[in-house]
Amino acid sequence: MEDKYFDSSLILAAEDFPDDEFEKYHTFSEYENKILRKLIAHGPVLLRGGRGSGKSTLMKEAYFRTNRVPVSTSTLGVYLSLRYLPLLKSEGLEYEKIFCKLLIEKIKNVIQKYIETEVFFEPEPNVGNLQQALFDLSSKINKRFVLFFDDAAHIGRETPLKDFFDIFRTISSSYVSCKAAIYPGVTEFGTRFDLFNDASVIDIARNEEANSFTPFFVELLKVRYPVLITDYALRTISLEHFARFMGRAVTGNVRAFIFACNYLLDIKYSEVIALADIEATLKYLASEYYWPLLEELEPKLGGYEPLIEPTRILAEKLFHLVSETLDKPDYGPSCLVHREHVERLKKLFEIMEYAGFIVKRDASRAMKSGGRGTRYILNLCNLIEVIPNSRLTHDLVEKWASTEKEYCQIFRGGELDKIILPETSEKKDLGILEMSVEVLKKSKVYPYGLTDHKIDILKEGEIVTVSDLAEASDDKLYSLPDIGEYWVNRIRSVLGQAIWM
Amino acid sequence: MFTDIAKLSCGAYEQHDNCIEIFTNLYNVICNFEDRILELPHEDDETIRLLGPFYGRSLLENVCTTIVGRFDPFRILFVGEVQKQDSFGIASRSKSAIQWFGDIYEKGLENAELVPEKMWSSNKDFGKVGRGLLGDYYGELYWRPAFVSLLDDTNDYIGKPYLSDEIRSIPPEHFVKQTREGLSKLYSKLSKGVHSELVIRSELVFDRPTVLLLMSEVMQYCALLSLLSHKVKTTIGAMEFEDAVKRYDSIMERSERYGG
Repeated sequence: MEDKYFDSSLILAAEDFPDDEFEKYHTFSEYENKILRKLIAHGPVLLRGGRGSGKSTLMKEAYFRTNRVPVSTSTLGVYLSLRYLPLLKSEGLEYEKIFCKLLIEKIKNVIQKYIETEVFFEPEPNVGNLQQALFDLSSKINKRFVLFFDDAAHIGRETPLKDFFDIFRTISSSYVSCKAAIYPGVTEFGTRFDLFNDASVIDIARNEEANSFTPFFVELLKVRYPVLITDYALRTISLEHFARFMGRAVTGNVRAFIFACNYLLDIKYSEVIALADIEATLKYLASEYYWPLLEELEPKLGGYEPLIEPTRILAEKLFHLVSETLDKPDYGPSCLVHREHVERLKKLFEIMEYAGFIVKRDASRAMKSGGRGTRYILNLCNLIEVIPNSRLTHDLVEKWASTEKEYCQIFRGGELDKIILPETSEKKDLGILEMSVEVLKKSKVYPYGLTDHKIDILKEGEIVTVSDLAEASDDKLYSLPDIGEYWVNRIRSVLGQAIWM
Repeated sequence: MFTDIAKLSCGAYEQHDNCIEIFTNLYNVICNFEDRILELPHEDDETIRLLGPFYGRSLLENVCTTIVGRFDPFRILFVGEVQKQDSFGIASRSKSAIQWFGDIYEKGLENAELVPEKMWSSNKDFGKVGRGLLGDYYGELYWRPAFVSLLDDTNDYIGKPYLSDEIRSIPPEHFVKQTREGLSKLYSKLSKGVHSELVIRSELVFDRPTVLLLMSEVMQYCALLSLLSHKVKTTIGAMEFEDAVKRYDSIMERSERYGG
């Protein structure tokens, strides 16, 4: 029997929510609304953020708003996820053709859904033709197009990015506003694309110092976890305090927050949430979410695969160095790293940011030793793992919930100088593609992964590797026993997470 | 009436007798546009489209002119004298007026020219040194040190919510270039809504969400440049920095919620 039950607690990513359930489970604070306004207004925008920071949520919400009154009087939104394997494997004209075909199909769907008058839209799959057709159509329907490209950049495959940004730039016009979600560390914009001239870049970083931080997580708890926040459950800590602390513990990352709350629900020994439950949750996240994330990331990094090990070493060193200063008065869970380290180990810092170990808070601050450095805040999960005694006390909660006045300073030389950077090559294929479909099994990493039974069915249907599955057509999947619409969608979804994260 | 942008950009000009008249005029103009922009979201879509870009550009120009005058009073006094003369008429272009291109916006130097040995070469002809508000020379002598001083201020002003994120993500060495390019883009967008150069449908290019976002960006740029000007001790009318931060905060708070 097909499992049609929709369980929001299993859903970690916005792109996996059915459209009709999306609104019910998402909330937007003043901070998110500020970004949404930029995503809706005319002009090219790149939305940059680590895994689970809420890029897709914002892109989807902006897409819904552009097709809803009052905004829809002047706009027509089109949301396109670029999680499509052939795009990852192609370059140049081939990439352009595949990209345009995908986009044209999406635009046709949107026209069918939202435009009542009959219109003709059949461009050739090339940028020039598509651009002209969009211009003509826009004039006819009297609406500006807002194109949302989600997952535009794959962290381990930079070559097609040049092609993407070429198209992004060319297709943007007076009637077409392009918006794309990218990761920290995307550096290959091609020769024609000027990052700051051709787009506005918005970094998603929920800052616990901002007024909107606590209300956002309070609202999220109300929407997703009403059972966690009853007066009875939160007897030892106020809702605001709890929301802020948990939000800060995961550096404002929504995906990790959801993961934490799911675990807290599972382990709560009594009806009341005790400090020990919160502590156990943080430690669980460190061992079962953050560290495994680096392993999960490895086969998706292509040429950057060898950087995972030094990233792990860097993370360990950083968390240790910060933990050593935490006893000092006024010192908080962040660090200021000399710019020479940040420059040399740039990619490692980006991977750590992507995985949620750290978040960049200040691009440049003066160091006590002279020179300047970048300040990062650390997630509290990996930090509590390494602090002496490793216990979460009320004092510690209080300290970590307030803004720090001092932070660990990591000067030139020292421990970070010992990290050796291995050679990387841009051309290497993504390791995940050659892995067995077994990796897609339901697990902590893939809570909505596949059952053993379904994996056996895939294998019997000669779908052995992740690449085989990604290239299999819907028809091929439907032809397999026990696989209907629900499972095709679930397969596509877990596949998307496995290849793109 | 809202006066934060006017007060922050004009500063304590009253203490300078020789330019009080000029700055009073600028102050009143800025107040007027500031007020109109804050009322704009209550207007209908067409009014917003027709008036928004004009209000935004006018506010931006007047604030930048004011800051030019505070950095270089000679420049604004000169213009003031010219405009007092009988020969000055509004029917013809005034060559001595403060220009966006030249006095405010100045093209950035090529990378090869940006190195210290070129910028500060003793063979440099001073007459040819760009003195645009957003040029690289102003950048090196005024804006960058002011920006660094803000980042490192022991009062930790950048810890304040509305002062923080965008500013804190800019490395000081990129500040001038990024600000120049951002402001120039903003000015171009506003200009397209002011001039009759759009032969395509302006209601699609300047719809409500777009114009309101532009207005909020205008407020933010006006606030940031004005705030930093108070870190430059050689400007006239410098305010106590703490007071400037309060003004800045309230402008930013309004701009973040603007039209939302």
